[in-house]
Amino acid sequence: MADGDILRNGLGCYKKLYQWLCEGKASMSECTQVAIKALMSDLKKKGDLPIKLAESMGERLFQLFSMVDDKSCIDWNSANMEIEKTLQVDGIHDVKELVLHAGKIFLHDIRYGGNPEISADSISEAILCNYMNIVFESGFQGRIPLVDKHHAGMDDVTLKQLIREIQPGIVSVISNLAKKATSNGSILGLRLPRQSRAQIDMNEDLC
Amino acid sequence: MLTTEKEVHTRNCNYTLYFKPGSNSDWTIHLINHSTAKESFVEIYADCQEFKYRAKSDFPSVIADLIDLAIAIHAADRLAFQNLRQEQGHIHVVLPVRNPEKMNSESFQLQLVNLLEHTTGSLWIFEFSKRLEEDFFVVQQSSLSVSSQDCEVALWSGGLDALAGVYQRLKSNAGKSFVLFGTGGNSRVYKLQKDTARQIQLNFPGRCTLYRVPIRFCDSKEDRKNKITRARGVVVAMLGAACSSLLGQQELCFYENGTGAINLPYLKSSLGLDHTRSVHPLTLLKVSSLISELLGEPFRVWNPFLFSTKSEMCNILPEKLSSVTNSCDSPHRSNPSQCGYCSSCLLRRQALAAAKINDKTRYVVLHRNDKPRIDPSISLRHMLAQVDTLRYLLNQSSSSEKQWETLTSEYPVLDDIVDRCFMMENLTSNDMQSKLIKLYQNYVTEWDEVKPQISIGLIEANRNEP
Repeated sequence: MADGDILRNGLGCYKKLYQWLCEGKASMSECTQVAIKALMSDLKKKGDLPIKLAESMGERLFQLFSMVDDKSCIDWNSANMEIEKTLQVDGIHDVKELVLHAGKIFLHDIRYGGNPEISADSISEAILCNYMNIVFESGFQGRIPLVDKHHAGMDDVTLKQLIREIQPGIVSVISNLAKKATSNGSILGLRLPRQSRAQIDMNEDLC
Repeated sequence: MLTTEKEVHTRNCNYTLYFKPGSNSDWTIHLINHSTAKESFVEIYADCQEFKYRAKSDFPSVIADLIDLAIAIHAADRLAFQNLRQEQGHIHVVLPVRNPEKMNSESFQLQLVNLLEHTTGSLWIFEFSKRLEEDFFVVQQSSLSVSSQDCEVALWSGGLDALAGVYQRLKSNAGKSFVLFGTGGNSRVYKLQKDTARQIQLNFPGRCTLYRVPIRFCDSKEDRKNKITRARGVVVAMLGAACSSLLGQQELCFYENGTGAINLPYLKSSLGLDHTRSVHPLTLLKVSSLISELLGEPFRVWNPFLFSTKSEMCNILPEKLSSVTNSCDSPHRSNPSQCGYCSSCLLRRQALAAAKINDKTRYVVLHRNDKPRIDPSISLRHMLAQVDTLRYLLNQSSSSEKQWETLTSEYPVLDDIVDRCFMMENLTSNDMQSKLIKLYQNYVTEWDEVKPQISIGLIEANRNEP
């Protein structure tokens, strides 16, 4: 029943990133910095509830995983239900859905991937890291206008390529942010990472 | 520390609705909006006359309670507003029932609030008091006995899936009779349901009966109502289950195509309830469990077309039948009424085109010259982006195991659906995975075949930033 679909548009705090990428005037490292600044603002707007939810998911899943010797014995349905139980708290529906998705992606990675070392903290950190990545994907990548020609005449294929180029830098910063937020127990207290010296791209025009 | 569920329930209530029963399945609702401190009294009425058709003479009190609960949820869903981008709304419902012990039990309450949070995004609190008033007329009335043998009860919306579904079921189950159950949301839908049912009755004489239980607010134009009602699926399932159970059945069918029922997000920006979960397999599972708990016996709400695309559902439908149905999310008042560019219209157009059925429906976007107020290409662009994602994921490997892993990395909810529903579907989990892979492969192939046709007038060759 496809009735009443809500289709989101508007780039919100990621508009500057979109414009910079399309205009092609800024370097990739500058675009990465703008992306991280926008992401931090987005994360702070969504508050600290994700930390609490990720902690609670971590505890529940650690307990469940501790009861089995091998991942082939894990009851994945129970594991998914355990993370759903953590959502029975007050909060913004959208934020809860983002964390739930992060938890489910974590379970998917374990289910179909390797056997990582697992502790309650490492689970929460991994879920929080997923959450931050999903916030970026849903706020920016998922909202890029579905057109062939973008702002300043940028074509869609090139724009997607540029986004792929800044992705590794963002993923690496998110990993550090998730670590810090887990140890401090807060997203609101996170600071923008100090800007690393921009690496010179051999293809970049230095003139 | 996390807030416990109980703590949540004792504070921050946005709306309270006190229900007072009238003499004949009508209710007075004392509605309190705590955020604005506004109070009002609203009347709601359900025409339950059709429930006089029963297999047994008595009217079980749990079924009367199920009907009242459905009416209360419908009223609250229409009257209590919630913004999914803000703190969740709390809806407190106080409803007199015949079986308060059962309905206040922890197990029933947990299932009920869980189901409603899943479908509406709000936090619900129910308080069931003992009903002291006399029961409504149809409960006291003796039944008009009907045979309970081999009958399938299905929900009837007047839409294309319902029509194609019953047509397929009638063709493949010779000798079986069908009861089509609808609530006739408003007078337009009420008429549509009647007209579409008549077409089926003409094609299959003596095999289909239409029952309707319309729910209407009385003189409540001053009270604003939600346009998007996410609990609609739950409400019609409860009423349909009451109808089915009174007819001596233990099942209720929702005829809905698989891709529409699962309703995967179009883009990464889509979250939770951006796409309705009305007929989602997990919703049907939760509804089945809740109704079984109340009735004290197994009851199943299921969708026989979970593994079929809309086009596959339609492919044996005679050409003239499809145009009597309505699929549009926001039908226009004038003719033509169906827009042709919302996601529901687009899926309808895609399905009929892929099934090679000449679509005789007149759509605003194709048959009127005036330009729509919004960009009519938006929904199509979103749907095509999802098709691109599905195609990419499914093409990563030819092994079904790997395809499933890739598909679920993007849409982990599919794992939940299989893990929780494979037994209800009488399948192994591997078989269910294969069927879902096939469903999405077929959906992508169908779009590839008809995309140029559907894009006419909506997407030009070079799309520019709007």
